[in-house]
Amino acid sequence: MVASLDLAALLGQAVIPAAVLGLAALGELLVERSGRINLGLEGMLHISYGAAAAVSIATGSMAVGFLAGLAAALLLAAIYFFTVEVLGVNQAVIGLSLVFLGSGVGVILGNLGGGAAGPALGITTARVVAAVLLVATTLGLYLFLQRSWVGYVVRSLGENEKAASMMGVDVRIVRAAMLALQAVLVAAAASLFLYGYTSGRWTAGRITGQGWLALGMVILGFWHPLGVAIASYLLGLLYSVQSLLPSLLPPGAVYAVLVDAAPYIAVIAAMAIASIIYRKTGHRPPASIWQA
Amino acid sequence: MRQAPIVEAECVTKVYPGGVVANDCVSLAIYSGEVLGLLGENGAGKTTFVSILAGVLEPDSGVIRVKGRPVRFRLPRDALRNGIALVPQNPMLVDAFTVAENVMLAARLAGLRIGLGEARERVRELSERYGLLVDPDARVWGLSMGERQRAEIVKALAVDASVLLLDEPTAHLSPPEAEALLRLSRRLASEGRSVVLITHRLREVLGVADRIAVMRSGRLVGVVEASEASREKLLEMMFGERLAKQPLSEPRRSRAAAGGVVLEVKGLWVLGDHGEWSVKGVDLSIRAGEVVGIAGVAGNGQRELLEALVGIRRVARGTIRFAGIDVTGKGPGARGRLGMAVVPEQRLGWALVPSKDLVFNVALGFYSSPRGPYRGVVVDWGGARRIAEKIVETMKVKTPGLDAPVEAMSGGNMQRFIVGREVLKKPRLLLAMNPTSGLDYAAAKAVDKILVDVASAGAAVLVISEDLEELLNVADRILVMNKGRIVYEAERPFDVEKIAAAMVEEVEGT
Repeated sequence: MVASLDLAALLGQAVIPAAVLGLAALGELLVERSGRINLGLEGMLHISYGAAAAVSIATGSMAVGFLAGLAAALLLAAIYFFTVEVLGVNQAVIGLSLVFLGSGVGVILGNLGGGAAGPALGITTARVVAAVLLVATTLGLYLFLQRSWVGYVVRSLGENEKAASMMGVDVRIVRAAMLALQAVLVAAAASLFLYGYTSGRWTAGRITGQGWLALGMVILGFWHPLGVAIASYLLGLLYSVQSLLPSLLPPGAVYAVLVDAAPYIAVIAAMAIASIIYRKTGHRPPASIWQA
Repeated sequence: MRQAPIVEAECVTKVYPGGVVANDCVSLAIYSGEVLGLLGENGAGKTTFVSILAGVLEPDSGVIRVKGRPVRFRLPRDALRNGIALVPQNPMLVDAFTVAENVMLAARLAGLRIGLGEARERVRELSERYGLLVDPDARVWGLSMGERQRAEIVKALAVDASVLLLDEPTAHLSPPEAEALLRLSRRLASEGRSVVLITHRLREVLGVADRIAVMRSGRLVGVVEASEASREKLLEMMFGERLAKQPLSEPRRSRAAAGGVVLEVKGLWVLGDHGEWSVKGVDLSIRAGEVVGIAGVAGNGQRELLEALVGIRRVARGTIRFAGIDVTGKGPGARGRLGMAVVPEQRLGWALVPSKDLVFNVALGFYSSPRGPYRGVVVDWGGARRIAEKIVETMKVKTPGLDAPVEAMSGGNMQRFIVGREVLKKPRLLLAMNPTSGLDYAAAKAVDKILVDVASAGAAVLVISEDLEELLNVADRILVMNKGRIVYEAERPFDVEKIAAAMVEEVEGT
């Protein structure tokens, strides 16, 4: 038992769950830095996971599966854009609607596979792909948001939409672009989850909660790409520890529930601590984030 | 004698959703190398007109031509790419960014390929060349209105705009700063740019403009050559037949001796946004029945002083006694219940909730006043409506209706509404910061008269203003604030030169 608490193994095991959360959270980060919050993230992950599973099982191709997952995520992004940015519907209402739409359609699509196993990545390959994707995306977004002038455009929109617009930012185009990028990252997260975590098989309920946790990662990461990646990796570590907990605890239904709830409890505790840090350091979310 | 106009508006019309006709077939040409004064009262349609030229608003009808070519601006960006930049009355910068970051962003969006280092250099160079003092690395949220104004102008110059639309650029500036800005518009015009200078101060346009366009109630009344214009002629164009009825200046009447001390501030030290000392050991005492003015160039600690007096900025050292009670550690609610009323510099956001209607803003504004329209914890909406009606009537507020959002009103009408509301609280102490900035002559006079009347009725009044002329009119005593200290105190009759000198003496060279 104690031998399985090998640190290197824990660190390695954490990579895939960390990358799934991290990619989804980094996508959300882009949207939030442009001044919107997409509460539909959970639904986006569900529909992308379901679509990727159905298509990859049918075609036997991971690439085609990924593209299907991307198309599904883009569809939800397009609905969000049209209703919130064009029609002016409240973003929280739309976000929550997308959660139900996305998870509902995700289940239908997932069941098309009939429980069969599609193509999947070997465990080592999956970990390498996950690590590369997370590190590259994090650094890429860091350079984009904090260093490039287009990053300033995005952030200006998140801080003061009116001022940004007066300077000449085309608000809709920037928001549409951020939503599209989010869909790409969500599709990557969902595909990684499918090919690297659930062995190419769609499994009901497995991805549930990842989107909500990713929203928390953005807050824990202080709206900064590096922070989001670090927060996601720490939660990934918690997942690896969690997978060991049942063997360390006495058997019992109560413990099982507690173990399942551990990530959520940890995130709530961490967010409480983070908000205290916010108050001390003056960190705050993008100013215009809740204005629609 | 002039070549073809660079920008030309032909019968531009704009009607707001409430049915207010803001621009009624306005036709106006702007030429290269000229300063065009655009004169008119608040609500005359000046801001709407330049907003249309700058792509902020789309006209309902009419044509805009740039260098003879008809254009259609869907977004401010389209106007910027045609070389037209608006410097709005209320600066529009990204608060979380530094000045240089704002400039870099604006320049990039206008199609200039510059990095942050170059933007910083550019800000430094422009501020030196044109005497617009701004620190490129200062974050905007810590800047005073005057500093923001300068940053806005630097931004417009950095994108190399050929037409600058300056909307009330001197509203937030102290007299020497305003003077410098007017000289600057002249210089920009001599460099071949066009400057449209919106103002309601006659002296300003008569001093620098080549031509003067006058608007009234959404219409263009006429355009005159500055050389042929006179004060009387312009006033007549601005106010029309009302001029005869309205005395434009009234002698300040004498006042009864002041009563007991209402506000007593001792050794007040307050930190600014960056952790620097903004208010350094200020002593201040105001008696019932007197108007005390605080003069000074923008950014010398006035804003921080006001915030400390209101109770929204922590006092580091010293005490504030109000109505006989030590309120140093008390919040704005407690001070409000003791009879403190505030007319802040930021009308929207602080004094008013922009998207809410007048009745709501009355109910909210009275929140910590004992005279509020409340029945226990329930808002008495009928009572709030009656108060709103009373304010609109006594203050002559022009509004689309009590149920229209306050943001639909012009700046002058918002201020009338705010002042009316605060006065109805029958405060012991009325604090006002730049109460007439951006208001036209008639509205400013009305507001100033009310401040004096409130004092006559027995309240203590503190007016913090960058407009020295205003303080000379309303105040019984003037204190000059410079770098966080009260450096000079004057009683009537005022020695204007000494006051002005105290305002700028140390500031030079910083």
